Amino acid sequence: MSTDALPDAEIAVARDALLPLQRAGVGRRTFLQLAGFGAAAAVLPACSRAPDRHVVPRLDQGGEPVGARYRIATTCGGCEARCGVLATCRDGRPLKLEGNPEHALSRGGLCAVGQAELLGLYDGRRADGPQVRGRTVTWDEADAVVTQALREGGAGVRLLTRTVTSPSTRAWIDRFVRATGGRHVEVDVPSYSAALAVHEELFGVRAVPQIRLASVRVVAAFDADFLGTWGSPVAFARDWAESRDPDAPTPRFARHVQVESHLTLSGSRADIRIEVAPHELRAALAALCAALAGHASRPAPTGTAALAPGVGARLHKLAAALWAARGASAVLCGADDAPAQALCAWANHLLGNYGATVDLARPALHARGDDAALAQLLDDLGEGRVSVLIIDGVDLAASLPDARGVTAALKRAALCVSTSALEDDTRALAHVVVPAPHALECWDDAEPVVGHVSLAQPTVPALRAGRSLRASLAAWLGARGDDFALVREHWSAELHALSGTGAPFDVWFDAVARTGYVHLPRRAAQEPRPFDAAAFERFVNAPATPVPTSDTLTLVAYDSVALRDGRHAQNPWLQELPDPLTKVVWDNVACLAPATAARLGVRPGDVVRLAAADGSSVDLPALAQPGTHPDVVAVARGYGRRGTSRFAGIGPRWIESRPTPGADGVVGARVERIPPGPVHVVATGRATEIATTQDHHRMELPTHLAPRGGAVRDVARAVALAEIVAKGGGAPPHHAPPGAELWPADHAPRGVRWGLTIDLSACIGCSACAVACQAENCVPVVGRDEVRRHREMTWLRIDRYFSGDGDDLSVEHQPLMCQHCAHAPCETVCPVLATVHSEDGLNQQVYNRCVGTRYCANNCPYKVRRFNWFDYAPDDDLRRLALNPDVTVRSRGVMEKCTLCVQRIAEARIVARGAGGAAPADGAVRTACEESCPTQAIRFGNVEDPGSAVARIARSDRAYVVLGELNVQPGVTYLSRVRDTEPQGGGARDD
Amino acid sequence: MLTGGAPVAAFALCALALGLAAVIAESDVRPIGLHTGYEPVQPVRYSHRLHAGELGMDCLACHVGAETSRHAGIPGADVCMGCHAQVTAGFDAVLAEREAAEAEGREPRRIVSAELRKLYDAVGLDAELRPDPARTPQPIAWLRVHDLPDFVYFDHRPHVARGLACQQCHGPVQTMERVRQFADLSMGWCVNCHRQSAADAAAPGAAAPHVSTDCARCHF
Repeated sequence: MSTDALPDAEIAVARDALLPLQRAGVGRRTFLQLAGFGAAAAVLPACSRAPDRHVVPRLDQGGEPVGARYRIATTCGGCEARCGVLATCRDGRPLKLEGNPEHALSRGGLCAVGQAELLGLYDGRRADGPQVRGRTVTWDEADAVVTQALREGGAGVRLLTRTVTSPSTRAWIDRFVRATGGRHVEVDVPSYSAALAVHEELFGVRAVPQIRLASVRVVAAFDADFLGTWGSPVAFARDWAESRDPDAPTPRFARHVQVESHLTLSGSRADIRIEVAPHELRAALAALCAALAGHASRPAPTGTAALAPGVGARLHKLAAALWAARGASAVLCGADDAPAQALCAWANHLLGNYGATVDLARPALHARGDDAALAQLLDDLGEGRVSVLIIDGVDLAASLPDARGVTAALKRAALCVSTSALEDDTRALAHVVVPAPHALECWDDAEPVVGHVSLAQPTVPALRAGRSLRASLAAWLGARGDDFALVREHWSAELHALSGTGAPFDVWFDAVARTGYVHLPRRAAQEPRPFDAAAFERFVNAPATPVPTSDTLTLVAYDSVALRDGRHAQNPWLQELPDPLTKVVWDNVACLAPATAARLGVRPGDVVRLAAADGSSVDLPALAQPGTHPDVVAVARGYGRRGTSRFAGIGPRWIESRPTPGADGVVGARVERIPPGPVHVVATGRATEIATTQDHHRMELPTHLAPRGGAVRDVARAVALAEIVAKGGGAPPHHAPPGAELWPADHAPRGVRWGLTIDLSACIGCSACAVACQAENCVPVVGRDEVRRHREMTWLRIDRYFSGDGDDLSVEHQPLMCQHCAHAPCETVCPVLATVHSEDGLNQQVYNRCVGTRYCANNCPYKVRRFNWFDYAPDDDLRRLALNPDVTVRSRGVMEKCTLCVQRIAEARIVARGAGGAAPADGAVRTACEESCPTQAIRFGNVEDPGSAVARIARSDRAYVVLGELNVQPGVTYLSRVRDTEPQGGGARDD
Repeated sequence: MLTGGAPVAAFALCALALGLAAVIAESDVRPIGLHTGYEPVQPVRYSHRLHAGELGMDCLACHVGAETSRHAGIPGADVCMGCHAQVTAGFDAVLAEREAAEAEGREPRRIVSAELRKLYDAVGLDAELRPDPARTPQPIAWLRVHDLPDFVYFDHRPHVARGLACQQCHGPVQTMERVRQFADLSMGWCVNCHRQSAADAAAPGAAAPHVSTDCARCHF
């Protein structure tokens, strides 16, 4: 009701009524406040503030002041790559993890799993103290049970661990094995056993080589997702991006060829992608080796088998490219198949890559598992020869097919000890639980590659009573000492001498604790033996892999980027992270080639049963996923884990809500229960609604609204390397001429406009930025049901675009966050001015003004705004400690979106002004997404400063803005992806 | 729509307004959420008048965070002990004891004031002010006087760096026996000062940096 509608007389009456207030100096706002307060004032005439809030200072004011941030260098425990981490802490606890730039391997990058490790720390379900047969006991009581069993156990003691990357733990394991006479068995999931065996036989070094991709000119990966999950993805991604610089004066652009059976992150970024079924992989490698032998004028190492049409010709071209880049190329093989690994080694050997890009003298140490030893252990268990079994870091019962009888075997151990802090299938069988601490709350060390050692130190006092395997072994051997003492002792006795430093140990150790990383140049290199041709013959003449019959598909169980082998299944950030390729959350699905799905009559969401020859089966929703070989069904490992029943309470509870876990009470299905290989795939007739973010927040126009016949908007752009080379550097400019101005130029330039540049050529879609954003900005987890309703809250999404299929498949990943438009469409429609422009170019969202009309989200062409439909409480109260105190926790009914980490800008500005500067220097502010990016695809800075990195990058000919035709002048500039689709030697691809 | 009820509504509005005006005139009712004059009784009768006024101690001597952190911070008991390991009671009481001791021809006894005894309890000292392992140190739980809502991010550092006197926002603390909230700490109060500073910074020849009134300076 506006005053215009009132007759004059009534306006006068209303005005008169307000007069006494105006005389009393009460304005409209105050009047309204008082009107609301009236009733309360009557009953609370002399109220003080209620409730009173206490403020409790520390007793000892030493250390950092309250509220100040500081960083502690430590090491990630998310996987065996053990990247360097800087934990940003405040008030005695870590709030955010960043990569450690001092670490020579990870060099400042951190993957999605590493980012999510923070949430793993604040997990209230971690065991608090040891348990014996389900009863919480003291450490002494638990130790008494274990030492008693060890004394009686004799040679029946077995220690089963994941690959141990910690040198100090390894030293204690050696001591333990010597003292007890037992055995240590290491296991990797997925297994690298074949690669280890091949290198042992061919070169006398039982290790996987260290791969240095930074200097390669051609990399060919066979079923090795080195950008996603294979080996050390963060280090590989950084090297990979470094080897491909299309903006250099003479473009230096390593060609990446991926040969794989289903779409992986690496495959999605490859210049050339060749689909082969798993049973053809050996043949593909053989064909490559034969072609290489032709170039070297040597006999082919093995007979070649038939391949799908076209594959052979493309492998010939790959061989030519590899041969031209001899000594600066790399052939990678991720298949756990000894003949394939032998052929890969042969190819690298012929190409002279050993000693150059493939280093076996200083190999990687992240995978040392031995399948034969594991099989022996299972035999020993079955025969009752194991008295004490200590299991550390591996959920064996959930990782191996049911048919191998792991559960029954584990029950045969007289005493089974688990170190798992969280509930899992293996721990459920253990008699004694000695929970390990989280990687962020204990001293530790790691050597993922010979000579590259990093130190881990506590970032917080232990939140749960735990003890590392190292400290437990020491305790059971009668040597009391905490992790700090044990690690320090090992570094003093062993590593100090290898460092080549002249500094005394204490000084050196303190310096390493500050940087978190040290290189040990004197760590002994293992000189590989000359290539053993006879051993090679033995490998390549192994029996062939089973070929699926016409009515079966080959099951490929792969590690997903988020959950890996399942050890992160209880981390809600990772469960809700859309898979970079399927975009499915809170579930694993059976990926079928679209043609295969059509042939089987399966639509997305239809539940199919995968039945193996041994009678075991698993039911999964199907998904037609381009890039899957027609003979393959690909399923992510790590789902269907016992502990995930905890997520039944996640997400808002309202009348229509459905629980996040599936019908059987857990999240996803455990595909590990059936052996990989041929499976029958049959529709069950049931269907389920997959929670996938693929169709959410689309920027495409509906066909009936599109201007020229439903034209697809050119959002994620790509350019061929040949075009850049032909032009003599730089891509043809994408810049469209500016259109008519719809808005007045009402934001005068003030010298600062914050913005981002995102290089789609460097982006690998790994989603580290998405989790980093979630961690930095208190973005809640909403649960599967809310995601189904398009209500995911992530500020940064990664759009995935497919075009083509099969070998011609092209995949684009595009991180998309608020574009901070100068002419922001959201700002013009907000009725309450809750979204307004700042003078430094930010599109601000003011939560307290927002009344939740959602007009802004409707009017946003990029669909990056998120509405709080509920108050999304964490599933666990301890998780609240992971909330960033510098960011408001938004409540129900308000809109939110990317702020360009305005809290980091504020901090940097205050620091800069305190130091006498006017504005933060270029590079002083780094957004969470930028800081995490392993390939440095995202850069942040002042786009109005012509000398800033972002301004320089935005001048690239590859630069464009998304939906530039709208002329909203976004602050985020993208760089087209460059793809080298043309094989060397000239000519277009002929197949 | 207003034809029938309008006179009634206008009358009611008028009566409410007059009533409220009377309330405002007669009492110290404050608008919701503002706590000017809030002066809670603290667990220790600590006097800012004595320390900051009479003794002339600098605010930043104890509230060290104001220069290095967002929060000025309440000093920990160890900061108090920097002086009060020696000073155990008020000057008058010590003087009286010394005079009494002289008169009686004996060594003066150590006088410990009741309020400082709370500090010694907090850091776990016994009657002779020696560390007592049997006592668990317990920090003092002060009552928070200046408290902003959780959606506001105030940072002491730029304000201190700019040379603002603490008294500008906190009032004449050096005269307060017990700390009282001086300003209303409302957004309007903040913004008025920022606007004035922005105008000052924009004046010709001004050296001060630009002061913003952007929402996202304080709300993020």
